[in-house]
Amino acid sequence: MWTRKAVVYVGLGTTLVLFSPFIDNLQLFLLGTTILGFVAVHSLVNTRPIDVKITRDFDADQVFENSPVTVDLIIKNKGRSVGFLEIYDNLPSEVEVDSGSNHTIIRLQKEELVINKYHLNCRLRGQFRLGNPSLRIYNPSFLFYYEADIESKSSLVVLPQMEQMDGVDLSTDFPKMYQGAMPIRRIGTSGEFYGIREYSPGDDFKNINWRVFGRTRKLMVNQFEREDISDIMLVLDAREITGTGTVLQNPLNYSCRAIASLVSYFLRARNRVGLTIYGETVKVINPDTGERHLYNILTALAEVKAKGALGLHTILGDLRNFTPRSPVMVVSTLENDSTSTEALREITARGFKLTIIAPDTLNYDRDSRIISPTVYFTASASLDNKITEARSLGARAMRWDPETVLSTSLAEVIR
Amino acid sequence: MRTITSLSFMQAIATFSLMSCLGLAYVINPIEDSLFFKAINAMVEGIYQKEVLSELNTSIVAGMLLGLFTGTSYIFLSMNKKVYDYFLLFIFVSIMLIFLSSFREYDSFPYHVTQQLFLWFWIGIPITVGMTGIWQNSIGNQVISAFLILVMPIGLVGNTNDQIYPILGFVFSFVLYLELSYGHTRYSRLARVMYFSKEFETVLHWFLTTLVFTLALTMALTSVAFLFHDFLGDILPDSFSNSIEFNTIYGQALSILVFFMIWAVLQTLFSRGYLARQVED
Repeated sequence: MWTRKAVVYVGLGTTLVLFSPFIDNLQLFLLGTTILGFVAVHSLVNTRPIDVKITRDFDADQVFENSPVTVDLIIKNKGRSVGFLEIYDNLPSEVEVDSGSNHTIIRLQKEELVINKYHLNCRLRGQFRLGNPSLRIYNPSFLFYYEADIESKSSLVVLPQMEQMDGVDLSTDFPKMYQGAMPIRRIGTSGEFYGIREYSPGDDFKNINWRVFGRTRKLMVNQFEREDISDIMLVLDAREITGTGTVLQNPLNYSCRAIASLVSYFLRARNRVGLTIYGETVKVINPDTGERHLYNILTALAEVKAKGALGLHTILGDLRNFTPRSPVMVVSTLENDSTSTEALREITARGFKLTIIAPDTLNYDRDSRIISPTVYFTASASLDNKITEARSLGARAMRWDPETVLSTSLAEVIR
Repeated sequence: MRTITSLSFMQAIATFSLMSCLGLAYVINPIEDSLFFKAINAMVEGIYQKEVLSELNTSIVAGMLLGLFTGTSYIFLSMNKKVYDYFLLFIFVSIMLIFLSSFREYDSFPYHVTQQLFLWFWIGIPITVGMTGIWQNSIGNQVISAFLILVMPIGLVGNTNDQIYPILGFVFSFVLYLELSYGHTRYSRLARVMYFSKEFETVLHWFLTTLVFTLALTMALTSVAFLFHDFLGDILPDSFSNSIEFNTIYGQALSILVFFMIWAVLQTLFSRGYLARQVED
């Protein structure tokens, strides 16, 4: 391809060669000839085909939101040496370059390998596709260029950010046969203190509370909580309305982070955790345990998009297969869902221990002028009504300000 | 050599080329024959109703040195917007004072000296504009300066093969000026974006090396294009090669255009295969 400079040079050279004879001027004539000669010579410099292979390498297998990832763009020259090679790595708009650059200009000798390193900041969960890197070869004086895309696509899965959680006490009335790590408010043998009672023959001496004995002269023994494995079902609202707000600050993103934190916490405690996502369709991940299951759920959360308008009642069918009286945690704002009241009533009626976490981004939306103050007050009042309604059905419900730590907010409502 | 050193080197050589091509332009075309200065002379004569410019010193070296001084001052003054504005105001007031005092023949004002400076300023103006283009990365100024270097010295007398060496020197330094000043603008812009890159330095060195080689090749190609005229004279019928048209500069011009036309055809044929291979890539 010709650049504008080349066109101007050829135009000027031709004009000088044609015009100079009229004033019998050898100087301009020779200048015109030289300019044309210069373009002709340069049409042979750094314009032949090249053979360059480009691959990408990431420093981490799993990338979490707001965590940096280092990309090595490996450029291998398999053809002739290239003097001016401009490379632009096509990145999705959701990731931003933190340091270094995805744009570079290099000189490549034959068989030379160059690595362009840059760091990305992934601020949004999702499954992203890094497109083909674009190449541009210029000849040294910017007279000709050639552009091409090199086939080298990569995918980058950014998992939702997880918060370190501790002490979330979800009591269940339905302990399973084998003890596990889910603390329930029953007497057992875990390290958590439950209460004291009078000594009776057969009690272990090491459980005697000697401090109380010193005070009251009565033998009392300490009692501890029992820990049990429990099945927990998490429900994620991914309806279109949950995407309201900015790309980064919207209820769905915060819901995904909350779910990721809870799943990680419960699985660490060796519980079985399942996930139901409803929005455009209902997607169910059956309860299971282990590291692999965690990444299955995180990958599913990374792929979630705010779509559809299915109500909460659509998950009821799938809940029937779930262990009765187990904890169910719904992460939803319950906005514009006419079926929510009926669905919540049915969930509690079946004996599930229901907890509702409603991520509240209304303050942010109002401050950012995404919604008007009138809409804010209406939406806020509606959310309060939903929370009150859920509490009246026996559920533990809370408005969660995503700026606050989830475990702290959750501890307040569970207390 | 570091990138910034290479870029400064380019600027220095470009400035030197700019001065040498303007100097050689006036060696080839004496200022007395210049249509531009003849026009200014006629205009000034019309205003004052007497000869003004022809009584002044028309030293090209003085003009170039004044241009160099003005250009340097301008570049330094541009670093401070306020000083720059006052400087422009000062120049404007000075020009008006020269004009008014000489028009009214107010001898207390040294208008003879200032007129002399004014004439040298005009001679050196391509240097001033060109320097601004080089050191402030303004492609517009580079183009205007190149245009002035070509146009200002031109006269109707013409020139012949007797002046071939100054002409070749002019052509070489003119192309060098264009390439280095434009190259500096592009590469310095890229250097700002590629501040983190170590490889960019090698690209810049490649440009400088290639420029020297391609300029040498271009001069050789120009000679070949010139010889092509003689070659055409040998292969064409006598009636054609002995004609007046063929043996003047018009004939040479046509031969050169034929030479580059043949080059373009060969290049197109070559490029066709090249493009096909690009698609396969």
